[in-house]
Amino acid sequence: MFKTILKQFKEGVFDKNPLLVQILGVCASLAITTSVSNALYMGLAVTAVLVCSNLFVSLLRKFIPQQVRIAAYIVIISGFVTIVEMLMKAYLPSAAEKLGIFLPLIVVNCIILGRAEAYASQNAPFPSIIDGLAMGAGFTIALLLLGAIRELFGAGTLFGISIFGQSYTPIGILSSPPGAFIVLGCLIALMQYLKKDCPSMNSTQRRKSQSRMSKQGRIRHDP
Amino acid sequence: MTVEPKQNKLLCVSSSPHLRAHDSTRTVMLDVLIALCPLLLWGCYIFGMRALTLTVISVASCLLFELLFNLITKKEITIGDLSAAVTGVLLAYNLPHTLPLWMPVVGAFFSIVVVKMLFGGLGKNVVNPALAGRACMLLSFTSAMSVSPVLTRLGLFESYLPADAVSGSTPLSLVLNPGETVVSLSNEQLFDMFLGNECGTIGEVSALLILFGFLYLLMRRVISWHIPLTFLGTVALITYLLPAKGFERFDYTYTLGHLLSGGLMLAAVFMATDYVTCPITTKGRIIFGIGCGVLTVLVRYFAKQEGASYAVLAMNLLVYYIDKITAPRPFGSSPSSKVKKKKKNGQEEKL
Amino acid sequence: MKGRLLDLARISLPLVVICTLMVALIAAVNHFTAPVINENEKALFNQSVKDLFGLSKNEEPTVDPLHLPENELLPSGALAAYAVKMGEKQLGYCMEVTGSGAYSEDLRMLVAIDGDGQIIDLCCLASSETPGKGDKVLNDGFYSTYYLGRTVDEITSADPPILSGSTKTATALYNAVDCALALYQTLTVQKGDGA
Repeated sequence: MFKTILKQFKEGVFDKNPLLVQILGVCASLAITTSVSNALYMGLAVTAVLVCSNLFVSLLRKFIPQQVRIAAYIVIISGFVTIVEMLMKAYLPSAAEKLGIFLPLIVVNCIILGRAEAYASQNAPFPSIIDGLAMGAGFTIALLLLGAIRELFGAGTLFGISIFGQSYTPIGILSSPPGAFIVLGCLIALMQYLKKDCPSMNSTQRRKSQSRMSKQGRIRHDP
Repeated sequence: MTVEPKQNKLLCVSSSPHLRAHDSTRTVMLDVLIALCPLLLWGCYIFGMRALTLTVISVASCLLFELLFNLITKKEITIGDLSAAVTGVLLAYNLPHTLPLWMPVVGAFFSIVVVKMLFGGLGKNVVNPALAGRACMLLSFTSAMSVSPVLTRLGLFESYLPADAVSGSTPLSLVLNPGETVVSLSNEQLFDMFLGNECGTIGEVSALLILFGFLYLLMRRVISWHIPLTFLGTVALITYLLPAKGFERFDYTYTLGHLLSGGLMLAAVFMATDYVTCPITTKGRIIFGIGCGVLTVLVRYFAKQEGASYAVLAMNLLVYYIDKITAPRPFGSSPSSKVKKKKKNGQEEKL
Repeated sequence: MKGRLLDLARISLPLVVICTLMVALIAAVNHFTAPVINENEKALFNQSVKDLFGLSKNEEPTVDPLHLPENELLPSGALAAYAVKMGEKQLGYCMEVTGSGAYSEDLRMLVAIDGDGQIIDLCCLASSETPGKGDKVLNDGFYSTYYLGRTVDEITSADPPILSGSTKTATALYNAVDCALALYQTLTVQKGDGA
């Protein structure tokens, strides 16, 4: 039991990291990671939506008809995004203000629909919740990395606190959109490099997991 | 122009004719460095020794980053081919001499690690590393990267400077921003610009020495004439026929002002002709040069800043497609489209 | 025919049920959050007004909404106008306006204007400009350079101040201020007529 949970977390954070391996939800990630605190709030919001939508999709998986499942998932996801948005506006107004338009845009974040389709619709509620947590953790960690690098070098601060002192000249490209692409590209490259070196995953295993992933990721076509 | 890795056991054959030329990356890069040398001397002469310091720092950090990357990734050490040195020199030539000394290190890191090595090293980079490094620095340190006409030891800039020399302008800004009254450049000014008696970045000022470098590279058959000439020719043609708003048509001084100012010449001769990031076919090179020229003029007209480097970067991204559409037909084969048509016809006849 | 209708019902019924479920959930959450959000917005507004007029924490100004004329004189983008008093002393007016021309949503600004028609301060209530890019103009530095202490004539006669890289946001800001000044003029003219 504990072992499977651990395995799911390892997959979410490392092997199938939503942002760095599956390259999902890139738009919001690039736009929002100008600071670590933004990245943290975004990651937590996505995780919350992911867990709730996974739970609901999993509970309703026998009830939702095949033909309209995407519509049903979207209704569930957008409902939870609205709820998270309202909660943040009420209890974390400054964070909601900072995330701005990207908070409601979580609806179209592919990670959530992707996990609903690939995992929650085929698994029991409890593993689905764990999957949501694991994927959310992977996404949050990736966002934090991205945000930390961009804020540290692009503005010289972390969580708004000056790190390098006044004399530091910020490297402006990192806090602007091209910098986001470059840092994300470098992180993806690093991830691939680490995966290649990782002794626990030799090439045959990797090929297997890749084919499994593509099978899961593929959208089923109705006859 | 890729370096064949040594561990490759296959017999590496260059394209025919199989003459025994000692034409390696190293000799080519050495030729480029020789062609670039006079510019550095001139830069030191008019901007002072700081130009040399910046260049040395840039080259050293480029070589160091390539070495470190090779060591960390446990790949063959490639700094011997001198391509990193050329990148370092070209990067430094695009910097104003007033830049803080640590900034070229950031540019070199971006050029070598991000643009070149992460894409797989020399021969696999998509855009010119030196230009990408410059673009990165321009975005990051906009104010430090803008050229300010600080008087140097020659003190010969008076002819360009308006009365308030503090906010004075580079010759480029004379052709970019029409003042209240349009001043056409005098012959004296144009001659000064040709010689390099102007302010600008370290390596871009002297058109004459860039032309010498161009001739040397042509003589050594390192580059072909197609890209630089079509590039400069396009800029000349457009600025002569269709000048920006506020300037007169058919004004040769305006055209020459465009050609001689800013980093246009440097970009046309040394950056656009980079082996890795320019098309292979002659036709492709002409398209590439024209595209660079058009984009340069567009950026200069509408963004009011130097566009040569952005133009080359943008065209670098299109090289793959240019090569694809201009690929020569193998000898003896019929054009593929005709084959398809014939097949189709045949099928229809059968049906 | 009957079979197809049945199929249709089999497909649509679950969707309807799911939609109802989600609506119920949202409504339930909204029941708890709506008052809090309302209070937050009120607090933000009050705090903004205090900041605009440079009041300290314990000073509570009285903010009276002014009646807006419902005719073509009302500049487009005007949302509300308030007369701000501190005890008996008239501090000035506060205009709530939107500025069009920004990237996505219009800017929602508060513009404080004193009795002489001078801008006291500006404050952005809501914007959806890109963090670090478009919002470069929405700060005190930019406001004080170009807007604070200026009068109607000074601002309308000059070109809109533009910051390179944030042209659209700067234009929206200009439009908002322009709208606030127009609203101020409309209101003062109206008062003059009445008196």
